[in-house]
Amino acid sequence: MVEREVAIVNRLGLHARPAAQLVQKASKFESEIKLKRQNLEVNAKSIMGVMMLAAEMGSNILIIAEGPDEREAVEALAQVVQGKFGEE
Amino acid sequence: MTALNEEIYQGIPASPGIIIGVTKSFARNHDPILPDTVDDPELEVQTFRSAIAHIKDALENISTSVLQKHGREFSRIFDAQAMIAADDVWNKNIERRIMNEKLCAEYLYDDEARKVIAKLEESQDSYLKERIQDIHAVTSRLVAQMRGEKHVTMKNLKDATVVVARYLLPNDILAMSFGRNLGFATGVGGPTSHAALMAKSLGIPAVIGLGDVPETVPSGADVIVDGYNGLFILNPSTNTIKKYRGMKKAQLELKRQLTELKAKPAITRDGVRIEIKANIELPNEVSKVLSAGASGIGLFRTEYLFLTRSDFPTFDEQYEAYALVLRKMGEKPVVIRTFDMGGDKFPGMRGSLFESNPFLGWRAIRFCLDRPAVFKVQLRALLKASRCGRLEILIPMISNYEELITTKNIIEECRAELEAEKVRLPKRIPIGIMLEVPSAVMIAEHLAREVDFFSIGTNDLIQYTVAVDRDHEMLSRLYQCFHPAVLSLIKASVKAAHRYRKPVAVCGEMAADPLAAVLLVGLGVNELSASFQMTGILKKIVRSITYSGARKIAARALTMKTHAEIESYLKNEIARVFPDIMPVIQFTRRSQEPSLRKDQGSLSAIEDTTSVERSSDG
Repeated sequence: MVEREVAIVNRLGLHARPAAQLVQKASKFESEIKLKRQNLEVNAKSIMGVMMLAAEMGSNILIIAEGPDEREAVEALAQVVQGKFGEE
Repeated sequence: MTALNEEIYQGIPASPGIIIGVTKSFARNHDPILPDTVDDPELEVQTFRSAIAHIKDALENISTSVLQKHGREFSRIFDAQAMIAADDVWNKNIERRIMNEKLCAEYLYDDEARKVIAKLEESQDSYLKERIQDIHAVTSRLVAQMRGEKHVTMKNLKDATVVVARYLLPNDILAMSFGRNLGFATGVGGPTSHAALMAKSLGIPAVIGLGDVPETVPSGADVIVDGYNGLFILNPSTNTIKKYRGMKKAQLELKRQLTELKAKPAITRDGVRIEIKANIELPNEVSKVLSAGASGIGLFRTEYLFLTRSDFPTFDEQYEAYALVLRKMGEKPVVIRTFDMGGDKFPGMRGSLFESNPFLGWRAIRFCLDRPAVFKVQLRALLKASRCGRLEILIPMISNYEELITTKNIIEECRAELEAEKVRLPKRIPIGIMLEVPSAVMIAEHLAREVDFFSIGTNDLIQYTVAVDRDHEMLSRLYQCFHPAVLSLIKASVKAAHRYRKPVAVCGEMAADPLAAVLLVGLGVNELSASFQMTGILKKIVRSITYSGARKIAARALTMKTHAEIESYLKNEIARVFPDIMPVIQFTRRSQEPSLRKDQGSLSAIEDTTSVERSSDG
């Protein structure tokens, strides 16, 4: 299992449109990926879950992955979050 | 087990028959999403999966076309929704809950969605808050889809089921019509609403106009639907069930008697022949019409061709349908009515058209004459099919002389075109018009010369004469078939037609009311056409009366001032003069005062009818 805590640098926070990118990215990995913020833990491959998480207050999120590609998964998702979610 | 109290509700009897069974709640989109239990959670999961797949496809298609027409800013909305629908993690969780809790998918989906929505509502981010709309959109699509798919599974309803709903549309009933021993009870609708006509046509016992009652009844409740008296009995007592079993038995006995009349013509005791024909909605009803012993089809409504589609039926489809009916009827005449669309019959068909008053709007022949290309396809299909049997063409909603002449000219054009294509047609194809607009009746003398027959559509004629919407819950009291004005109009129609030796038929609901049938014969009507279930009954009535007696009754009724006076006169006078038909009247005539009653008093109606059982046993 690999974990990493990342700070959200996006001015607007983790909102729905970028949340979609995050879900799309997460879905490419075989590992089970969880996102955690405050007391809420959601599946990173679920748009409904990620939106729920996005609504939680707080500036950091924890990425937890478990599976054959867990390392790559955490790395990729951390980049999505820190890369400002590729604000359009 | 505690015995629940029997509750009796008085509604409007829409279609005769008795069902002793259990309820099945039929929820509509805007109805609250309730935690309905499902008997077969695996089936529910499968239905849920296919619903989700369908929604995803639909949203993706919408997104593509919106992208082309309106750009990415708008198409993105649908992308977001498609993504929600495609959330496998989420959907798997719903499936798990269906299996564990055995509740319907749409409820569980909504239940889960509410949790997300609650979170999103707390958010400061307005963009995120807007996603609530997307979740609602997907949820409502799912509800529609699940309920839509359940319509189809309604086909497999088990025996003795009463579908309860606020209202049912013709296509709902069509989807259910495969169930045997099926009845329905709805909150809204008048006795002549299209749903009621369809129920009657399919032989499904129905009570309508029950107000809020059907919506509040859950699935699985014990119930009796009495389509003769318009009663909806919840949690019937053992005694009531016994009575109704008796009534069903009596119903079978009467049926047996009526069967004996099948091969016999409808001739009054003093030798006047009345044609008893049947109305049909669907081609597959022809065999029932034949086995009921009708002398023809008095009205084949062609609107069903639109029910399962959003565009116009093609020439081939129409030709096949018409030819099939004509062939099956052989030597017996078949009156086919051209499209009577508009009004309440084609909800959403022409979505772009707003009419504040559709019954006074762009419908039936008005539509057809404005869309000659569409009309000619139907007329050509009819003319070509006329080679397969004895076709008569009926034009609805004529309100003036010009419409009739224009229509006849178009028919001639179609004939000429077909003949130019070397299609040989019968020399004479009778053309008749519906008399349903009072203005047409007032100029019936002019019209009679131009047609081969009249067919009085009493449902619309009454509606247009007394200015009462026939489906209006609050006004069914004012929708009076024995209003003296209605009687005068029928009388005038007959007089005009007979002057030119043209026959007059009545094809509205009035023909199916035994009291009215006697009156109509007395007014000189030559033909009665009602649902095939009424064929035997109408024959029995005609064979039990004398023409001269009926004439006297009608002449007297014409002097009276009110519906109530005429109705009570008919009841008493017919009972006195033609006592033989009283059992038939008791069994088939609807009670005329729809009101919501919870008391035991309405049981008297049942006792009246069960007495028939005793007399017919003897």
